[in-house]
Amino acid sequence: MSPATKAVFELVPYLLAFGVGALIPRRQGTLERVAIGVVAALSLALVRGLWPAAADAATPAVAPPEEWPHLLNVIVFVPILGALFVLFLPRQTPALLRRVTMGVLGLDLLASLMLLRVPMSRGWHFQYVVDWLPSFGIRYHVAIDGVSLWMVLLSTVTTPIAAYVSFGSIKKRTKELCFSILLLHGAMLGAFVSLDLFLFYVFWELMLVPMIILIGVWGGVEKIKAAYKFFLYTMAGSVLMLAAILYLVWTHKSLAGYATFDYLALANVVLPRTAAWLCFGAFALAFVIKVPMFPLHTWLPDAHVQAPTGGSIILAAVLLKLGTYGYIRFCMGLFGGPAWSAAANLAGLAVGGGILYGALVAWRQDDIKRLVAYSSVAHMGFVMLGLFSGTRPGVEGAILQMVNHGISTGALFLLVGVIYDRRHTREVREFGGLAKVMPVYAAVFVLVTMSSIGVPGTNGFVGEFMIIMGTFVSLPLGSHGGLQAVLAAFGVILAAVYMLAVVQKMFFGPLTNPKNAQLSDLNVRETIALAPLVALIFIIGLFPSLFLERTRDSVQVVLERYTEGRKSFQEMDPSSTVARLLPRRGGALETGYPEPPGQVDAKPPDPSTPEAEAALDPQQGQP
Amino acid sequence: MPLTSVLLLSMALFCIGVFGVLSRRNAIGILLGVELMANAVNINLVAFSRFQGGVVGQVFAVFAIALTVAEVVVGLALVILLYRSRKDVRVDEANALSG
Amino acid sequence: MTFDVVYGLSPLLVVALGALLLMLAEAFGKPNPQGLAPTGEVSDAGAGRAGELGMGAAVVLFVGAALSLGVWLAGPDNLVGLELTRPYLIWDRFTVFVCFTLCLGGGLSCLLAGGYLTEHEIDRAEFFPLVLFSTVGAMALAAAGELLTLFVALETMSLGVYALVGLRRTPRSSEAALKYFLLGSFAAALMLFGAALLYGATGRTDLAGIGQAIAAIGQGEGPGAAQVLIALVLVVVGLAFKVSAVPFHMWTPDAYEGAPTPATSYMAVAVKTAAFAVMVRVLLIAFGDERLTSWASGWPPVLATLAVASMTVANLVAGRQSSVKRMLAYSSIAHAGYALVAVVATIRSPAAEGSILFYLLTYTVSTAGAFGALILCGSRGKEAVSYEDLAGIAKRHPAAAMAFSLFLLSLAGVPPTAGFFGKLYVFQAAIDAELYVLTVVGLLNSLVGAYYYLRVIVFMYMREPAPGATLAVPMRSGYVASALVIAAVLVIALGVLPNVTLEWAAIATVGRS
Repeated sequence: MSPATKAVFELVPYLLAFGVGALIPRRQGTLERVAIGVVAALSLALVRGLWPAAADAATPAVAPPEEWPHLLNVIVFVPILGALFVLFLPRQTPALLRRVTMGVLGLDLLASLMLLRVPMSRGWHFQYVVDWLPSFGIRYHVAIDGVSLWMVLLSTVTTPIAAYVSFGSIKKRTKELCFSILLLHGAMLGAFVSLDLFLFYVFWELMLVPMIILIGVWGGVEKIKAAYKFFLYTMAGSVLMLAAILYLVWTHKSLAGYATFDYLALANVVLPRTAAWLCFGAFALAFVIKVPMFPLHTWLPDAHVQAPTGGSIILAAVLLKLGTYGYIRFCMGLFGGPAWSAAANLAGLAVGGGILYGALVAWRQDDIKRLVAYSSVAHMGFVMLGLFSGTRPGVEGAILQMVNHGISTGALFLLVGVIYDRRHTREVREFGGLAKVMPVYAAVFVLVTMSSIGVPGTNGFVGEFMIIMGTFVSLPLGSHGGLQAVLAAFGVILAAVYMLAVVQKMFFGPLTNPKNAQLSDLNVRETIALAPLVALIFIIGLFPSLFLERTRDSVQVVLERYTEGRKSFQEMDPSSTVARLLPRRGGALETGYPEPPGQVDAKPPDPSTPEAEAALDPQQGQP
Repeated sequence: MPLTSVLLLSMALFCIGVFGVLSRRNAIGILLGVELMANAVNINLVAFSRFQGGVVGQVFAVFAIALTVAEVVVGLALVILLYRSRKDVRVDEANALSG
Repeated sequence: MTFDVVYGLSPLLVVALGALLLMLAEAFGKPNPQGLAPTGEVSDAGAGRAGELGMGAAVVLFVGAALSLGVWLAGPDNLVGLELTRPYLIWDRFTVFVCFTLCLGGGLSCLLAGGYLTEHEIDRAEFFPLVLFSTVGAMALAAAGELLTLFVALETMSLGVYALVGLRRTPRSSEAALKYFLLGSFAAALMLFGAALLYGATGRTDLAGIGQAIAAIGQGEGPGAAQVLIALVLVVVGLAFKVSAVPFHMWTPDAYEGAPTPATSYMAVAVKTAAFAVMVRVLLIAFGDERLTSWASGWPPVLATLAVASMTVANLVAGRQSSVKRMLAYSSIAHAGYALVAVVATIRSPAAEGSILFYLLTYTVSTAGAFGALILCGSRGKEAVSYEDLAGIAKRHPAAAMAFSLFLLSLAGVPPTAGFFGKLYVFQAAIDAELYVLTVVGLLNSLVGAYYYLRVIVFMYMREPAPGATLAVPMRSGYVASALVIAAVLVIALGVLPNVTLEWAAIATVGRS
């Protein structure tokens, strides 16, 4: 069979999905039909990509497909270039702007699905390194592992949905909207894949401006206050992080003789006690604000309530994950010692201030969106608890829960936006008995609520269960682990209480408010946006191993680095004020390690082949 | 006359000038204060030149005088400009700009 | 030999020649039928002249910048003839880099003036010769290696700027000019006295000689040491006035607000750049001996205090301004504070001088651009000054709002703009010099600073103008637009690919002993 025919056969299922999607709905225009068809085809691609068995059956027992090194560049820079391209389009043609934006985001989603074709073994994948500012030791170094893979996919799946929803409800200043969404998308993806601290910081800051514009231009009544609050909190964290980065780089330079911002190189620096604690504090502050954790969470409800629906979805689904992702990658990777020692106290904060306090405050809210925002604080508390536990189930569960939270909270914000568009209020008491007038809406809402609570069979259950399990057996949490696990489990019950209470008040009982009698059910646009999220809720809930399989090795690596960092931190004489440098780890984990400027010519063997990996084992990798 | 006395004279002149600048509220008065300071400098330069030998100090003084004259020209022009528009040259009354 | 000198000094000479020619052109050009009327109806002939002369001046200055680039590529060290100008003018890589920055800042300001003077009917084409002469002074100031040259250059630069500030002849403008003049000449007199004392104590007037003599005087208790100390204080105070560091900044907001905006832009970029250049050279060459650069007994703690005060006070006050122009004035004070951090870092970090130069370059393009965008937001009879004037400008003039946002983000230090690398380089030098507290204070200040820059963006994009407010029709001007394009390209280019510039800045040192 020639490659061309094979390609045609490969395409057949997608065409079928497209056809089914486009033909089934009745009484719709061509455009809607095409959109539904595209979503169906893309969903099929996503599902097929997830199933390793399906891919293996097609090409049995061959080496994993070659990694195209520019794939991450494409994923990151397609949206950024798209944003610049949008700037040059006329603002009088909102339809064109929307189509271009959706096209770019769709392309990005397709490109990110290519990431799934490679099994996520230990080490870095799709690595691409090139010098950016050699005199400063700054490189463009991107790569993914099993952790960032899911973050990238989460962004590429949810951002198009958020954009699609936004285009439905926002009709003014479309050009700025398209520009902001695309730039934000590119910056988030860039931050997830950067392995150079400088590059990471650049993307981290780059996210700020489009997000402020999203909140401040299309937000609610208090939008400007919310935008300032978001900005100041985030900046406050990040400037201290920059100071810590600079200190780390300077220490590395004085130890190794050359400056580098590379994560792999800086992870080998062991700082003296005080400096390590201060640097850990600076990094942790930046990430904890972003997560956000009690007591630094106060920007989140404001930002969520004021932001337009699309902005809330992006904020909840992706932006908050940068905090947890950053904690895994940088706090646990660079400062294992302080992170380990602080874990018990921070976990207490995550349980008390996040899970329990967040749940109790959420219970008291009258505004649905604010309620979802506080439930978000509680969910992120779960994620952080999993990370602090430092055990494999805990961290794996946390990563899964990050994805879950993105899906279910994103869907909840979308649903809240739906009712807000119709009634222009979000007060719970304004509603009641909605299930009678909007049956589909009510069904989807209940379903997403189940996922958010963590009912077995939905995605939320798997993640929360693994986190609680991991907390029970956690070493860093010591004797408190059991108690914290119990309290976290109690938090799950609380979540059920406040979520179900709202569902009951809104959807069941008599239809008291006459204003609600004429409400229309979900329209096509909303259905299209919700369908992939609902599908994912069940896919993850029923087949969590699809996700866990691809994370497992990387979590193992993360934890190895974490314990190693702790060991070298403890071996350090507490009174010592001199930093030291660990030897290189070698192997697949440190491909792309920066060499001193003079030795660049001595090229290491190509790491993509198994022989080369064997040659680069830890002993030989040491200088 | 020993160097110290000359220096004391110039220092006194300089301090009077500084006091004038800081205490006067009239633009002309402040300008006079600056002039006094500049002249203290000139006395200093010439005195140093006299006691250390060489002409560099005197050259410096001549240049300083020329620079001061140029400064005064611009300064008085600005004072006249302000007077034309406000009929007043007291700087504490000039408060169109504040914040 | 002669060729070396002429080629080496060509940026200076070209600008000086251009100034003379422009002055003649201005004097013998078509007279304006309305005479000297500062406001009111002016014929198009007069208005057009400002534009043409502005273009001419900008071309001269950009040629100056290009020649600086040429001299840099040829390498000032290779031009042996330049030894002739020593010690009066020290024409090294440091000077050439500063000359480039000065010409760039001056050229951008002239382009802005070409649009601004026409739009606001200020028929004063002497603006351009004044800018050029002042730039000549600034370049000579950056190069000055001897006290006499230093003062002549300083006055050449300052006198032109005093006149520029008073150009508009409105009460505010005159008041600003007079205040600036009085404080400026006061500062100059202080410095002059310090210089006289230095001459008295060391018997030398060239900076290098003074440095050696001071090292020889050393720790002694004699009158010499006391004189040096008083001289140091006076010189530092005088320089602090010129770079407008807190607490010697009182003139800055008034002068910046009262001056016509292109003149403000020129003051903010060129005068400050030249003042920092001479500050670095004087402190490192004349006061560069081990004792005076030590933390315990020299100028570093004084400058560190000035830096902290400038950053903190300026940032806090800037947030409370209602006028954007005044806010930018305070922001320029705050930026002086960041640059002072780098000046302090010169004591231990060899990279600090380069970081000052790079910082000044990024500051120049961002600030000139910001003032340019501010000009573009206003129109005849309705200059955009306050935040309210800018409300909703994103709808009325999207391009200006976009450009303004870019320059403000650069000033705030948000990547990937030029300002971010400027700050990064400065703070890295500070960490290199183990000035951790200064670094953290500086970074926290950049957070406060980001707040008020963001405020402008918020007004432009997120606020609607108050009902009934008189809206300025945004002006359109090819001159201003081209200046903005140049500045924007540089801001992005220096933010994304600063590599070559960084490397060049790193080797542009004053060559301390």
